[in-house]
Amino acid sequence: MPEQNQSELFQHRLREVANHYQQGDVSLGYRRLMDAALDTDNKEVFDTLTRHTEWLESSEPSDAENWAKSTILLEQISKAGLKSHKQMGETIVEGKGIQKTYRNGVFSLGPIDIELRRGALLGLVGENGNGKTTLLRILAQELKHDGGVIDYHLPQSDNQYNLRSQLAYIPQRTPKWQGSLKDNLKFTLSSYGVFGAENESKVLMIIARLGLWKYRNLDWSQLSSGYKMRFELARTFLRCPDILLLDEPLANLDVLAQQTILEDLKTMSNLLSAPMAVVLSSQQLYEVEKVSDRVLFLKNGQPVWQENTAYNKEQIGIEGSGSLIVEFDTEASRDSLQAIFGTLALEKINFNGGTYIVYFDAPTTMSQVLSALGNGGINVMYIRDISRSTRRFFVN
Amino acid sequence: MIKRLQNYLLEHYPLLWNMRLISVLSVILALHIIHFMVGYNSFDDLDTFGWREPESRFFSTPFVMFSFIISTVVFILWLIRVFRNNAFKSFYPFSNGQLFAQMMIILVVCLLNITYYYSYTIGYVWHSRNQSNEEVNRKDVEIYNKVIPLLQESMDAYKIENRCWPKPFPLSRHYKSTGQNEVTYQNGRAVNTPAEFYYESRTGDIFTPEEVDSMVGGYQFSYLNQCNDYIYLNRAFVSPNYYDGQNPERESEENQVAFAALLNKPKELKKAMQDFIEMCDRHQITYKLNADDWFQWVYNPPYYPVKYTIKQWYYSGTNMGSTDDNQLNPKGYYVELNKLQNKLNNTMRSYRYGFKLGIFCGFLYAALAMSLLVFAYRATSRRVWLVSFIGSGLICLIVGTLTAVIGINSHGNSFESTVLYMYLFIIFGFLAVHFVSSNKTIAGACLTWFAWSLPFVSVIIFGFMEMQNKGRGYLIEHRSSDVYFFCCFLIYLLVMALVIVPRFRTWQASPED
Repeated sequence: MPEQNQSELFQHRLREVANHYQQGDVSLGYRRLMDAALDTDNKEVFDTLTRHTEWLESSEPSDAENWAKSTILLEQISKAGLKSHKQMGETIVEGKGIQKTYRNGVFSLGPIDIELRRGALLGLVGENGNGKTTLLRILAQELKHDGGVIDYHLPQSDNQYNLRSQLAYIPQRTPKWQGSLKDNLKFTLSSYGVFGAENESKVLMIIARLGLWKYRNLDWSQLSSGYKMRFELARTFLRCPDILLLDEPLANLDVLAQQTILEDLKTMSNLLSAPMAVVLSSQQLYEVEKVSDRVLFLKNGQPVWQENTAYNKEQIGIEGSGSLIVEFDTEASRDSLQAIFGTLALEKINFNGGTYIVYFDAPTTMSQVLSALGNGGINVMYIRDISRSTRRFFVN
Repeated sequence: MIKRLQNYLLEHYPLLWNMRLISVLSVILALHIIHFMVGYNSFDDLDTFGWREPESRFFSTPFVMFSFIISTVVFILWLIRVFRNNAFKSFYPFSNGQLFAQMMIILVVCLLNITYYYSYTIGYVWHSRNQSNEEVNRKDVEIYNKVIPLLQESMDAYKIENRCWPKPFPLSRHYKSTGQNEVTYQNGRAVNTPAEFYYESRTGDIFTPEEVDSMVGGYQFSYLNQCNDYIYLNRAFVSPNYYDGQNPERESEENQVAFAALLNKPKELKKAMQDFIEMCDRHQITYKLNADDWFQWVYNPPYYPVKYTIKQWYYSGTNMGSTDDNQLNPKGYYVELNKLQNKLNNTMRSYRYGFKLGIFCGFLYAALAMSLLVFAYRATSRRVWLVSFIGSGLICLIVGTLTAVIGINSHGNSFESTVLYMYLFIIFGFLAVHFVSSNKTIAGACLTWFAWSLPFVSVIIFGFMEMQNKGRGYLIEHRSSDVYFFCCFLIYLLVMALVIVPRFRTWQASPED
């Protein structure tokens, strides 16, 4: 993306912030405000935002007061401008035919072609033992691959250690750390050459952004799993890696924490100042698909489906290619459903004990299905179009 | 204050903060101060310690146990904190220089944490030197040496066998037969036949006991005996195997000559006694004695037989209960002689105390060993460290067995060279395996073994050099060996910085197979 476009995008995001505040989405507006502040990479802006956060935490102001102050902040952010070093959308990893077979020969991964771009989030899904962690570890250079080529288009990839410094891999079990949360973040940032007052400002800024303000002086044992994961994200964002690889970051988190983490991941990977490529493995299909730009489904180590890539449906041989697949939960009987959908191009109805999965031939649309259900007076507790979702591989 | 300092390090020198340098150095500094104070106060504890060279004093105190335990506790607590937050393993930007600096920090902390000995010793020496200046101490020793033959406590010290003056003394006593009294039975009664003996002078002349009695006027107990309580002014610090000072026997002989000369000068002798009493006052030595009485008891020309001796044990409350002793010292005169002797000796030795490179090298290598263990844990993984640590024991066993087998089967000088080459082959073999192994754990363990065993190369080479030199009749100067080991240490650090540390960095970044 050209630099001029990035500046336009930056201005667009500022307008979005104002819009969120004006629409009453104060909490969302505040988070986006901080994202915009991070894009400036400006110490004065960070300091102002930090004071603003302290004020919000201590005084619980009204929305009007908040908006008044935030308007001033928006002006300051706009004046400071975007400070971007990296181009959004550029390809930073190209993998061709990546393969890995373990010595005992029990499991083989690939061949897989993969491309990672700045600012894009790739979801990696699949059941346990299907190669998600193996692929992540290969991409993180933790594990050797037997076949294929991986090219890292990164500035210091000549040296293996320097290359790995630019890759951030967060495993399922994060290591324990000593000292307070804030000190650990400061340590990370000073290790990356940001010293003194600038270090303090940026750390407080990221603490505020990730909702860790109240917890900044706590140590590892005093934090819940969700906040430990947020800390890991904070630490990773301070490192400004080019590639972020997360192995099951949503495991052991409650629904709210999962949503927060995913939203943070999405927005932070899209920061204009330091966009990064993110690969995220998870079994929370819906949540992952919601935030991912592309999804790679692994089954027995083989790539089964990947959105917007050369893997086509004939190659994969999946059921219902080109058709509409709807999953829904209702107390209605199969017979009544068949009667209702009789006017549409119904292919078949499957019931897995909990939900119905209904397959329609083209050119049936989701709105037609919704109309049929409404007209038939069917009460639906849950409904979802899974035609393009990896969910359809799990429903049977 | 400490918190601000830590924050400053955190914001500017993350490596130093990560190594918890402020907290560990604060604790170590406090412990050094405690050791200094204990050492300082130990000077007055003459009853416990007697006299000792400052170098060996610390290790002969019960305090050394406390020191060892507290040092271990500090080390472990520090490690627990340091082993968290490893920037290197997290792949934060970490140059070879920073990795080497980390190793040096660990080395310095280990070194400071095991060298409480120096604080203790310096505290002791400091106090000791404050007692009197070197010149005054020297004069006090001279006063002491002038009259000490007149203050011998044990009757054995006055026996004829120990006499050294005038000629033909000293004489050696020889037994004609077994040297023991013989008991025979005559008509059922035990008859004791004393062992017969004779004396021999240094020139080979033989004297009977009767002849010797006649030479000394019938008195066997005399002040003209060899005195064992001289303080040797010119004798430098000695280690068990190493003498670099003047021959102590010669100095003792000179003292004896001076003493004999003094006996011919009654005024000077009395003056020396007065000086001695004054010195006791100055050093707060308890005594019950005056120069006039003392002079009268001991001044018995021409043979100087013992009339009275001054018994310290009367003062200390130990009643020997011997009639002879009471007769020798009916008025119960005493001088707290041991205390004086210890004080003078300790003060004099404290002035001779100086930095010994050999001792420092000992601490340096101990600290190096500890720091290499810690560094390997920091630079590799827990699994590699455990494999290396447990494997080290196995390697030692195998190498020890091989050495024994070679020892049994080798002839002549081939043993040293064969074993030396074998050791070098094994050590550099680790490096070779590290480079060729595709297994990351094995490659890491081999690199760790190489780093751990490399300092032994200097020790092995030195050991074999000394063995070969002994075989040729040479002895390696210990001062040279101290310098040798120090230079080897510096060379090792250089190799560490240029070869081993970069390899650890490369190894850490390499993917697993």
